[in-house]
Amino acid sequence: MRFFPIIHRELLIAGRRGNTYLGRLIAVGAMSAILMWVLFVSAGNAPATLGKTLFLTIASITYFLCALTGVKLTSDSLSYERREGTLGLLFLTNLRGIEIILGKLAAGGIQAVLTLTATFPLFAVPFLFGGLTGSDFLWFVVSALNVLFLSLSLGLFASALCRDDRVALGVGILLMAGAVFCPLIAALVFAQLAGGGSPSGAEFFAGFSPATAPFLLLFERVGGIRGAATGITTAISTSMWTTLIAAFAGVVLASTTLGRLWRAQEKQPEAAKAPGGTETSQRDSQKADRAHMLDRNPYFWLASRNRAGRIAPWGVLGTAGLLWIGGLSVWGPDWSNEGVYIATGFLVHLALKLLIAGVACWQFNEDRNSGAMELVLSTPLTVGDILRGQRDALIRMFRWPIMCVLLMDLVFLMSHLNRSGSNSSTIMLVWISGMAVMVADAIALRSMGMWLGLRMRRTNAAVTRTVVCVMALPWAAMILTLSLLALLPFSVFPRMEGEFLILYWLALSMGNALLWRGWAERNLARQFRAEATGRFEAKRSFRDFFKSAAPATPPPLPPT
Amino acid sequence: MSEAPPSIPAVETSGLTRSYGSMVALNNLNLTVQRGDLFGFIGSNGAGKTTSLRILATFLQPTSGTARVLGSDVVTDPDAVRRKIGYMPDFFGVYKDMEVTEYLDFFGACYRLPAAKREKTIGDVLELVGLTEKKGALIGALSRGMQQRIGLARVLIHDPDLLLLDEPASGLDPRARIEMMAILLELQRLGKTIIISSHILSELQTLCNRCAIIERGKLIYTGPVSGAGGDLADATIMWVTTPEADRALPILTALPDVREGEVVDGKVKLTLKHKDADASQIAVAMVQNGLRLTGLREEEIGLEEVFLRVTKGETQ
Repeated sequence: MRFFPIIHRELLIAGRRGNTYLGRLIAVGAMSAILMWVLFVSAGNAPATLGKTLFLTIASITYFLCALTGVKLTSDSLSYERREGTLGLLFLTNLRGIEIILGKLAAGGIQAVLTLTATFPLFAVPFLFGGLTGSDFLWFVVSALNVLFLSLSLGLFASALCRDDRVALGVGILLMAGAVFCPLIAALVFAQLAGGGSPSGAEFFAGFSPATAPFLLLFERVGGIRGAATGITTAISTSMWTTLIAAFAGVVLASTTLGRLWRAQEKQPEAAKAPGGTETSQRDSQKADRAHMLDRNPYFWLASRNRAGRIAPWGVLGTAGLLWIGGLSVWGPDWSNEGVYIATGFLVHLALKLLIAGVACWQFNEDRNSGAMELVLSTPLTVGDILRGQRDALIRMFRWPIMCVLLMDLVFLMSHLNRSGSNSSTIMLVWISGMAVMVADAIALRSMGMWLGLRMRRTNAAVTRTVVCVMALPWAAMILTLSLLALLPFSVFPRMEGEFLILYWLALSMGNALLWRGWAERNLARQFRAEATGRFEAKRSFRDFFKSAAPATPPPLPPT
Repeated sequence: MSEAPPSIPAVETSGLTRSYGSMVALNNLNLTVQRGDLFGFIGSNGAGKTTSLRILATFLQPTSGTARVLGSDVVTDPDAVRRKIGYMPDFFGVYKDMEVTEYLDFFGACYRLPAAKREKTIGDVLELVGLTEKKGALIGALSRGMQQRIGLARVLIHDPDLLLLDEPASGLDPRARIEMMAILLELQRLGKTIIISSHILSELQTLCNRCAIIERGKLIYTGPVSGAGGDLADATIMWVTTPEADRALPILTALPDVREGEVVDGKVKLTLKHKDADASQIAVAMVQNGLRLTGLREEEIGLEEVFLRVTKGETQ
């Protein structure tokens, strides 16, 4: 057990972070709110049915959190050590690769399990209503821990592969999404191609997905008619075993990757080669472009160099296009329906917004962490120039992808209008609202990303907070409103449904985006220099989370 | 660069104080650096050197007091200060994925140099720091010493009058340090004023003409490097070379201005009671007592010795 010191160190660090406790508080708070919401919405049902509904809701959320939390907790655990140059120091002790991995895994696991445990009292509510057995709950706990283990191990593997925290998190989430969805897509495609003649083949593929066991458990065993029949229990066990094996494979892969990589020299950028004939003219052209952009605004040139940021939006659109072509080729006309249109629009909007948040946070965060921002601020370049350069660069990167997405929305909308039914105006409102919120959110994410990227030490934390504030809050506010309205014994307001509901969501989203944009722009204008040249300080209290910015400027000068 | 009148000091601080909550990082600093000086800023870790330099570079505002850089106030006219200074912090702050030329071109543009002038200036500063052949190399592929020289090239790109260099030689190997020092001397010869903070006191002693010693935010000494030992020493140590050291010792220790004496390696080491004591009485006493005197010299106190004597190693 030589890895205990690693666990000890990791837990000490986590214990000092206010976000550790805040995360638990938010998890429990959000789940309580959702529980209450379901309780009020389904208040008329029989107690046993209500108990099952409550259980299904909070258990589904728990599975989702387990799938993401593990990756989040471990994806930067090894990459951080590599960036800081402390990984080699660990290997200089008696520790082996697998022990470092186990230490990190255990530390992340303990933090996640503690958060999970904090939500357990909520599960008492469904039990009080009845309709659940202890065995159901036990199955749920074991399968949730299983998903968490897979998530932690895939996060570790991503962390062993990557050096950059954002890339590691992205790779971890992609691996998890791949583990969940690839077997399901394979099952769907197999079922479609086999024409329903071989359901066991599709079930075989689906069994490899970590989502299968939770799905079967919740919707077949607890909520379905099959109950605790032997067949369903066997299927759940099989799926859990495959998940467990995949998790162990992740740990082994992380360990071997780490052992191989740490000895290798840190990758040094290659020296630029002497240009040849055609390269010379290309370099001359690049030089002229550079001179032009530098004369316009040096920071614009700097921020525009983010090649990954330029390519990624087109990658998202390209992937969506390929998936669409795949869907059309497999499902034919069945694929072209309103549900698929709206799901596509929602997912593409979501992916693009996440990218905007990530890229907006990155440049300032990187420059501040490396100290380069301080050097830039020692020049006569003004804060206004820096902000303008960064904004212009982001507009340059995302202007055309956003236009393409809006165009896609329009095409979907036109397609719908051509086949309009009774709910034509509602669907039209959905698309128009979605397009308006896309633009408003993009602007708000840009400003918030820039401010939080500058202010926070880690890019991933800045991105998470940006996304929560701009994208998640309107949804939370809407759910809260619906819950509060459900509390009222009589109808004071018009019923929240249809177009009224969409308009309400539109107003919330636009207002929220406007608010955060204003707040971030105000902070950027007033506190940029003080924040960029200040030192990072450990945050210990919850209050820090809500602080707009620490007063980095000294007290006013005494009168002379 | 706009030239400040020669009579204006390069740096002038008055009662400069900076506090972080209850901790006073810089306490009533009164400092004057004349133009053309190569000024050493000496102090333990946490003494307040970096805080002073960051105030002069306009990154920090003083809690009280004033600081003027080539006539411009760092609080009321920071833009003018930024145009006149070149600041090199104690970290690299380089963009490792940039080529050397791109890096310097970027900072040249930040200083509003026109594109045509930037190209020529980049060539000049790279030649000055000896990296002309590396202009197409990626910064991340260069050694630490080369990256440090790129940092120096960066601060020279707009031809500033004052250079603020925070630990420019830290982490460099001996050859790179010597090369860095040679470049700094060349810059001084070109008329630049340089303030350099460093822990390598032996090098500062040979490099700088003036220095300041700071401890716990307070200025302990400022003045010429050569006079630091004399000014700060509470006594003078004289070494007497004679073949009759044992015979000479009781005679010399009996002199009124001699506090104590001992024979070390065949020479008489005498500690005088105060630094203004007349050392010629030693030679007179030797001659009057018929002792052969082959050498008489005052022990020079190095910057390291002075630093150790005047500071207590206290940090904040």
